[in-house]
Amino acid sequence: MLSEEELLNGCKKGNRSFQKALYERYCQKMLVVCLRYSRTTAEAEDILQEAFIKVFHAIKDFRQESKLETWITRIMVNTALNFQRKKLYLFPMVDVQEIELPEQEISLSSIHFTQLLEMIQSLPQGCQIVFNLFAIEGYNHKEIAETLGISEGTSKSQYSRARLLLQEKILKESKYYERYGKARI
Amino acid sequence: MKDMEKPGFEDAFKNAFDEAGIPPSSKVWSNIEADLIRSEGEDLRHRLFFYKMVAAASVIFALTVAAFGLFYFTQTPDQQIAKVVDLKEPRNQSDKPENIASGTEKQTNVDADANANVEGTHIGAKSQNVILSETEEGKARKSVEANSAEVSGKNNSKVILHPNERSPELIDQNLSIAELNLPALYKHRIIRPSIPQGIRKTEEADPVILMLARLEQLEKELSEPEERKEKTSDERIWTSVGFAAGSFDGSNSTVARPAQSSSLMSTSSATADNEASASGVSYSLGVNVGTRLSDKWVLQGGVNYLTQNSSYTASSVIGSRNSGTFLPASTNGFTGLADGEKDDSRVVSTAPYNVNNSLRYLSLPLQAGYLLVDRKLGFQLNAGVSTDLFLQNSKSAEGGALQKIDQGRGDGSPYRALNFSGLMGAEVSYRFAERYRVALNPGVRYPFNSIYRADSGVKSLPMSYDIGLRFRYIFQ
Repeated sequence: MLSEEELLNGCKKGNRSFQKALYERYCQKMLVVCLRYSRTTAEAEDILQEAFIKVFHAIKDFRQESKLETWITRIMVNTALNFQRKKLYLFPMVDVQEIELPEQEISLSSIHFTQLLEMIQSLPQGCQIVFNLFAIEGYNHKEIAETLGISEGTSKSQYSRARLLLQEKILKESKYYERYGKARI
Repeated sequence: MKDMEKPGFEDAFKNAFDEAGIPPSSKVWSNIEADLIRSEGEDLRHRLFFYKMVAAASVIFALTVAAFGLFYFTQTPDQQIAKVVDLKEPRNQSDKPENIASGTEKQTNVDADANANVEGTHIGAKSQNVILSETEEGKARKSVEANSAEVSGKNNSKVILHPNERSPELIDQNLSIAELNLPALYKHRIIRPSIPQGIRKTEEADPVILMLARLEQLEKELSEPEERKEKTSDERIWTSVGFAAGSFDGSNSTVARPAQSSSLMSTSSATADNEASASGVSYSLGVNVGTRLSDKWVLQGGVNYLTQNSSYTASSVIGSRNSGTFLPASTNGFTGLADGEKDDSRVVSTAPYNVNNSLRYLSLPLQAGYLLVDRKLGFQLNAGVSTDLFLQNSKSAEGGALQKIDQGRGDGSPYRALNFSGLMGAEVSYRFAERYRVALNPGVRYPFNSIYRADSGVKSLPMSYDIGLRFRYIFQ
């Protein structure tokens, strides 16, 4: 198995076999990233394709200040955001009333990640993006507001709504599991 | 919102996706690869475009310099002297129409005493030579202020004008030497203000004296031009080694369309078209010898190893007869199929892939050169023919999955064994040592005949543009 250094050097020289090896190493994980920001698999694959092309073009300038995987993930997220930006213009995010969430312990251990993906994909557009950026990518609301061109309050309210919707879905799924076990997955 | 900031919920989601992975469909990589190939092709095209532009710019530069050189160097001193105005004669005689009409020598007598435009100017029965330029007429007509020179011991002085720079106003108005703005003439290099031996340049030095002395020197120069000419004709025989790089363009190729449009025929025709019309890069390396035929003409010839590399897209492979290997689709492969095999049995359609194509020739150029500038910095125009002997053609599919094709000369080859090309170019050179000269050679090569044999059905006349760098050793 090629080391990250070898992969990088091969890709910087434009060697096709190294480019393919890099793609094969990260494509599965990156498709999940793309799926989190899209509605369908076809859309996610489009994002994945465009993002990897960007990766191969920009890899010459990669200075290894961060991990390669982190750098690639960032490109995936940015590409996905560019994809979704048009939709955000069409359906701008609006502030929604912040909801007091019930104090309830939620466990995701019994739920497969594909179920979680489906839940995220079913969220409204704005909620989906803000939730991904805040909960999974680890951005704070100020950064999200700057990235998406919205107010910090909008980011918070969108996240609040996303979280409520997800909790409801998770609880529903949990009850289903309690009744029928994990066979559904 | 407080609950939102509880780490449990976010962490749970993050952990759930930490090691998650879903394989994408295979078309994603195919599309990525196609895009990468396309962008690499664009890079190559940009490089080719750059080479072409550099070659074109060099040729334009060469032709411009050549035109200028022809215009400048073909003028003889006699032609440059159009008017000679004799200042010795009385002024009224200088205005005679027949003297003006003669065109070659206009003699004007300027009696400084009689011409009292400027007080204190005295040029009595003396002659001066003054070269005037047409564009400077206005300036020249200005009078000299406070000119009080007295010239003695100078005889037969003349005013010399350029051939097409007749100055009727100057002559008709009977302007005296005193009326000329000599500082302006110096400034605009109408009169070169170099000071001949024996005359010290001081602030008080009279410009007329300087001018007279300079004109005398000029007269000597004109009478003995060969003595002053820089001796560069000592380069009689030389040899040079050189390297050239450039591009070639096969877009003017044509492929005979098959009468029957079977799948094989369509595939072979499309592949041959892609192959013949591909553009690429060319390199040559060689040794040349040259000799001088006359003062202006040289003859150069030599031996060069020439390669032309390109790549084209194929969408099929050709199975070999005996083994289970496959060859990339090419004109060679389709030409090599026997009549009985000309069905689809040995040709398999595939996804498009790239084939690297390399042609090698032994080139024997022979060029005549005309020297426009024959000094330390030299410039010449070259034209000639090249006899190109086909050596080998190699084709290999990108990725190395298919067997490589190495095609030599012979009956099975679709390439002509002997080709002739026209050569045209320029050479800018610099002699940096007694026996060494370095030269830059932009040039164009145009084949007189197709590089493919007539029976292959493919006609291709790839035009090449290149720039060479040569180091010349001068034997004598």
